Amino acid sequence: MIGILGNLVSEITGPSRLIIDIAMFFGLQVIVAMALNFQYGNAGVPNMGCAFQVITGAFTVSAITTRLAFWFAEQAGIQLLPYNTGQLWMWNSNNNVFTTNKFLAPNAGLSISLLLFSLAVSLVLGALIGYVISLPAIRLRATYLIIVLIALADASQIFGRNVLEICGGPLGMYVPNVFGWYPGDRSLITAIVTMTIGLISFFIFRTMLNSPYGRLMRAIRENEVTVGSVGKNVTGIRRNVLMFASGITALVGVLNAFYASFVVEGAYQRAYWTYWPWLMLILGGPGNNAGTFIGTAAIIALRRIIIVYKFNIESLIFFPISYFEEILLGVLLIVVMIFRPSGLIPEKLLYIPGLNYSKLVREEVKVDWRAATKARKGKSRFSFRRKEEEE
Amino acid sequence: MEQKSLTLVIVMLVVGLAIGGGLGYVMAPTKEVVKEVQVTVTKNPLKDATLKIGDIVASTAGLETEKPLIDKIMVPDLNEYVSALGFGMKVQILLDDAQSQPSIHLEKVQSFKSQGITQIMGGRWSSQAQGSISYMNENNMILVSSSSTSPLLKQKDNLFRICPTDLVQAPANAEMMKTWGIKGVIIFMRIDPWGEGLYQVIVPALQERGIELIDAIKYAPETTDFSSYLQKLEDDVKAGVAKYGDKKYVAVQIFSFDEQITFLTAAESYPTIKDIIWFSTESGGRDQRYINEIGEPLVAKRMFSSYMGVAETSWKFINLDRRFLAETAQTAGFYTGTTHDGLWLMVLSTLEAGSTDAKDVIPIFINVAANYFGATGWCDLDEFGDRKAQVFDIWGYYKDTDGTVKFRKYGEYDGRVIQVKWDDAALAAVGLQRPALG
Amino acid sequence: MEISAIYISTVVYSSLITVLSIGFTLTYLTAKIPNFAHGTYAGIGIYITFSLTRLMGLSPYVSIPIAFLFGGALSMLIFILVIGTLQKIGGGAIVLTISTLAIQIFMTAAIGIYAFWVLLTFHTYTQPFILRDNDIQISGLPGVFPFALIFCIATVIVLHFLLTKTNMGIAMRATAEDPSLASVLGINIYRVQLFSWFLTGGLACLAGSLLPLWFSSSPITGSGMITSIMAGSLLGGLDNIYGAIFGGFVVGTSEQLLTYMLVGLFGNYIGEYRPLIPMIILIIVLIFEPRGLNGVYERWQVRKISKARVVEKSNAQEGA
Repeated sequence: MIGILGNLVSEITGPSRLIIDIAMFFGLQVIVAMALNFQYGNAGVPNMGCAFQVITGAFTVSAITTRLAFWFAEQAGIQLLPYNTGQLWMWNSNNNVFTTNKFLAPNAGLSISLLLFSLAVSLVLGALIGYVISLPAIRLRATYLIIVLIALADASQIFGRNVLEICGGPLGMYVPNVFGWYPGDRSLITAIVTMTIGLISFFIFRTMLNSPYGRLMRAIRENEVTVGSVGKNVTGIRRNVLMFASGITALVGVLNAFYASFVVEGAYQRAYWTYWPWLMLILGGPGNNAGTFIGTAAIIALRRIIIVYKFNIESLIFFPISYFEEILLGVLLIVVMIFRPSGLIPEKLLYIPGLNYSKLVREEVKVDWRAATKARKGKSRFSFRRKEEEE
Repeated sequence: MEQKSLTLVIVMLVVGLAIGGGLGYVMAPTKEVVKEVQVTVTKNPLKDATLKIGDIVASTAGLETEKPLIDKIMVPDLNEYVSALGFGMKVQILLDDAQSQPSIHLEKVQSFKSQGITQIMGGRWSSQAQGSISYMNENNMILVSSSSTSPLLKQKDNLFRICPTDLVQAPANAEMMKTWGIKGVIIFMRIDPWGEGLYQVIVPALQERGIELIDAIKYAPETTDFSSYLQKLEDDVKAGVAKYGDKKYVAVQIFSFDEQITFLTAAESYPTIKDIIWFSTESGGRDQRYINEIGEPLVAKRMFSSYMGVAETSWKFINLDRRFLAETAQTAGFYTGTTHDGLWLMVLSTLEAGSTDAKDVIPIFINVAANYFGATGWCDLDEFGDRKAQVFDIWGYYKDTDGTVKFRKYGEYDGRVIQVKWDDAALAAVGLQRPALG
Repeated sequence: MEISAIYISTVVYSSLITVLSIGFTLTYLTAKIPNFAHGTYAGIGIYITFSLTRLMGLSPYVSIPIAFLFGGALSMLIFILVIGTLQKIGGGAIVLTISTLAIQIFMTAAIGIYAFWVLLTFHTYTQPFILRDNDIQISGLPGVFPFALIFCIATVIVLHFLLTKTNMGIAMRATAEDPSLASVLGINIYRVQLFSWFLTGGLACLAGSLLPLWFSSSPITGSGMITSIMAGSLLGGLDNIYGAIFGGFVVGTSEQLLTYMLVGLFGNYIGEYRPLIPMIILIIVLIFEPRGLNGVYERWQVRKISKARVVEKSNAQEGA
């Protein structure tokens, strides 16, 4: 790390480059996965619409921050091309962004406030979307919710494609560079910012989970009827969880937009921004943040390794090796799921300061809530086979 | 007192001498110390080097034809050329896939960078090129694109595009319609960077030429079934024919990829659009697959395709076309030609620069391109690294006397002066006649 | 006989979506998971038809039994290797759902490799293709038009018969209702599940094998249909096969005919939002009726029963 920071200004090459690139992707994905863990692993809301929340952040940058940056530039007396209609927005934004970038580069204060502004706006918009999602989420069963959220993610992409004012339609557009003041490598500073935000959200999530509120969340996940019967507002808590996690997920969209300096709806397909975080979560083991970290790191590292080293076996097979990437990942995931069904790091009992668990719980209690849920509902074939065996 | 002043003078002298001497010592030109410096002039800097080029196709479907092209045609050819010149360099092309996602394209670019590969043939869709280009600019990587046509990417950067932008092609189609006497047109297109780019350029071009844009029917790129869109097209065309009095005044313009094979087949079930005039782009003209898949209905549609000019009479293209057909059962299209030329240009620039690093290749790329005649003709690039406006061909399909469907060149469009020249003899030979304009 | 192509498309598409939705629902009933790989079975069916017609020159209808058996066998294999194993270990519903996603990725890539192999070996063009020319004509109509409809109706009738009259069907229904109770009654649940996976895989593959006769097809066609299938199944209430029949038909018709009508009414921009139309219908229905159309049906049933009871009661009182 010191080595990387050492060559701040000069061009970064070699292994440091690799580390920064992976760190950036890791930072982005781990925030999404952590937020998912918060929603699904702890509150039991299967949010399959992460792509929807991420795209909200990206659209915040392209539709709101960019306009604001243009406005500032115009206030400073810089002549920009007109951009008031959708058509003009599409055609002139790229040139306007280049003009604006020149104005922003020496203006560190403004750049940073633009970044903070977009983070704040996306947080609010993400929370708003969380609220909208929570309306059906409270009423619908899990499977219904999964499918409705997938549909919403698709819908957001279709709107981005057809409404030119958002991000210039299918052509996409560049967005202002808010890191122009930084003399060195831009992806380094974005990676640092992303990791910082990731770290902050990690601590927020951790604190929330270890608080009474976190225990309440888990209680809802385990049995909402019981929680409701002791006078807790189950739907309210679910809504808060969804709103908070959605806001955090939307931050990822902002960071990704600034990282690529480019927003297009096609970059936010659900294959990338929903399925991958879910695989990471399931692989690592839902319910604990350490598992989420491990899962994310494992999948990103695995992907990079496959991408880089697959060429070594290219000569052995007749088809393009790139198909193999998909197959290998699919097989690996299934194998991991079969051998570690509760993830690489299974969920542990909550740590509550000042409470001696071994004293409290004399008998060995296996808190595998997924199996527990099934046993309770009596729908697992496994659970009654065990019964059969006992008989 | 005198002594004192004398001492002062002496002291000052001494001090002055010391300072002067010191300064003089420092500032004086150092004596030339004869040192034996060994200067290594590498006679052949590329000897034993391997030029690795990363090749990223836009979607998984693209792998199908790219793999045979790379393995069977490009790599052997390039290596043969390089070794014939005695450079001792090896060319290796690593094929990867962006799975139609800009984020994955960026990920693949970064992985190539981590392997030390800085020359990339990719960015085949404008969105993918645009999503990765700021990373590549910052990391001194070169991106050569064979098919990104978005007019919004005209910037001075490390992106070099071997194909002309939509600003050249869309007016070509408008001009073709005008010279064919079309009064109303319906656009049938996919909503993606390519289709939308062409659409945005052709709308004012049509207005300029007094052609009415009756309707624009847009479908999502994921669409697999075109029934409801085709029915709408049928209704629109019917309305247009009613308005202008005859089928010959109304045309359909399609901006589509290979899905047009399937909807052109499906269009047979609709009585009006079955034999209206269709205008297409380079993905519709001069393609054996269209003949195999659609066959005779193509003839009734008189599909005219503005086809970015491949040098179809040059040996280079004929050779590529013949070999590509043998490997993949498909005719080499314009984009096969640009892929071929792009890879050649990368290798030639590398040889010229004497280094496999993109940093050295980028400054000379435009100059090398200006002197290269490839499968798509002279590869002149403008100051932004985009292909200059060039001559487009107009291709169509006709039924030969022996009953087979074939493609044929019907004319040319000169992008530099915006002028269409129909080859009336070729049209007459297949029984087509250009309507009199008036 | 002339029928406008849009009606043919609507009928064929709706029939196939209906069959696929029924299969999706059936999987959901017995395994309690949404099977994301369900659409990909159809993708495999597409390439079975492609191979038989393009490579071997047979009639596309030859592929019907082959597709059914192949799809069924594949689906059984998936169940034995992945889903069944995961269930045995105690993987929860979400783990199983994610594993179907992984299977979908795997199978789509496999179809892609197959298409590449065909190109390499037979030099035949494999991506977007349409087999309308290979279809038979029945009094001026494409054969797939009556056939898809007959196939859909036959599936419904056979399934109804299977579920109400045969032992296996009754066992399936019992398993769907309450697996533990069913196993207490001596039903081998593993075998029931295996059979239901065979049935759904076979039906999906068969539906897919008819698809290229009228619609354009490529390796990703099947996996792309999954949202429509899910919408159809969900609209019907997810745990009622008869609901899925209705849901599938509504989704298929709304994607084709309704979109076309809306475009005529409101203008072309509606067409750009076409994939959303079934979703919007679905969301509206779910907002008012969180359990889909099944909820309406059940409420109606409950009302009927309670009415009958009231009548019974009053009769009894009168008698007394």
